[in-house]
Amino acid sequence: MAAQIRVYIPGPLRSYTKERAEVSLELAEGASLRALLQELDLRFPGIRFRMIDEADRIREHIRLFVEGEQATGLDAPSGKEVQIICAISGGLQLGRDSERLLGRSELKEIAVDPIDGT
Amino acid sequence: MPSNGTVHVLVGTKKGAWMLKDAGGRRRWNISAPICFGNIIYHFVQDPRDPKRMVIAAKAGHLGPTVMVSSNGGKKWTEAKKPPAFPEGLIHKSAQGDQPRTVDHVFWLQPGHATEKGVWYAGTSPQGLFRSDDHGVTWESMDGFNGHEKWHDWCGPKEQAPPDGARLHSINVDPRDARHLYIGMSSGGVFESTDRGASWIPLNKGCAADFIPTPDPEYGHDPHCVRLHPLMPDRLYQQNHCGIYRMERQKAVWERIGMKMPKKVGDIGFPMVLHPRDPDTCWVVPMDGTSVWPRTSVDGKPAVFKTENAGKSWIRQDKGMPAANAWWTVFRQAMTADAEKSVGLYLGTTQGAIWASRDEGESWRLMAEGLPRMHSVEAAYL
Repeated sequence: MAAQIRVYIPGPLRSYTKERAEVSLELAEGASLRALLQELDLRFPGIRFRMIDEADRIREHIRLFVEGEQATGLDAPSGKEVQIICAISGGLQLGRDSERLLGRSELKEIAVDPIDGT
Repeated sequence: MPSNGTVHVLVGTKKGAWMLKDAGGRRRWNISAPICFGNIIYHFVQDPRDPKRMVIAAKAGHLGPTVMVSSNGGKKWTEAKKPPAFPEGLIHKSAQGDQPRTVDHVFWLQPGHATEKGVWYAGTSPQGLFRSDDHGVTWESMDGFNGHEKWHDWCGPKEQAPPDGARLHSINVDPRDARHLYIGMSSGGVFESTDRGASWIPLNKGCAADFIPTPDPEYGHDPHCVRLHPLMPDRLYQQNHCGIYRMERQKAVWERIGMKMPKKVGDIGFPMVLHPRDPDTCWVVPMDGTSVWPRTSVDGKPAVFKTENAGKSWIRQDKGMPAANAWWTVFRQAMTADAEKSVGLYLGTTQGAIWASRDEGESWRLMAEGLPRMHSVEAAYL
């Protein structure tokens, strides 16, 4: 039985989707994230490799959320909705580095992109 | 490099690529709109066999690596259908145990032999060698290197990589023989293949590697830039982490020609640029490689050094450059020469400026500024 899956595309990947922030894919019900990404790559060639490396690992700054839950691998079922997120990383790790570095305990979260954020 | 047409300078930066076109006597330049804006561009190279074709090595901050190709002189770009990727089963040893080996970024692009149209080579981080037979659209792993039984000995564990990643670069193709290749690796050293990359031997004799406890190691060196002179293909020049070298291939020993550089300046740097018609002439850009390796110009006074006698002596060339407080340097593929009668030189700085010389380094002018950090600067003709 086929199911429609909504996929949210982050800004850095919208050059592949003609700037569309959301695309809908039809897949067999219960299809895995692996199958979803394969289908996505058929529709938008090249998009998968920017998110998933040649060892089938989700790249360091990419997160995949299935119906709000973060997926750690590609074998998870893709559910009805998948969000692709470009992770904001770097900055301070609250509760560990932040207190030490700033010398106080009341902190606002500070996050910067360590790669392009300069 | 083709020498017909108008001089262009192809620039790859931390935030995209640009093309600059000579708009009059190499004094005035027109600059293009950004290409692959926001992407980290490691190399931007024209195909001398088919000048309208160009290839870019790109990566975005959040995304994986890719290659972009143009067949119309940079007007339109399309993504490679199959970017360089290590084959399944190759591992990278690390303190955390064996990990799958994956391409972090494509670092170096090299058009193949003049008789092999469409062939390109790519070097990656971690050290990987790839080949395209279709102008850069699809790439295959060169398993003679990537799958070599000594790959881990040559390239080291993951943790041993330099801060920006271990890289394969300086791919040189012998103009007399398409099967004869050289590569440089930081770290790893210089290696040679005479069978189109099926097998490789280290070629580091005579070159210092003073950061390794082993005396005179066979490999593990840190070449920054290695160039073969097309008119004298048995002559190689090398700017290394440990000095400037030249090798006459028949002797198979690197000779440290940087010892003739002024002692206060030293002979550490990244780029090595050859004169297109004179194998005795080349240029380097020294940087501060003392203490913790500031990687700035020496004393904040940038200068290019030129030899006209294959390294027997060096001439400082800094006329027109800032006299002080210019703490930039030049990365390994961020300096190039054109093919004009009076050779033009172009260097891109870590502070986003391009300095140019129309008289073989005698004098320098600021050609562009306000660009992002320069990773690559290559001359082209269109």
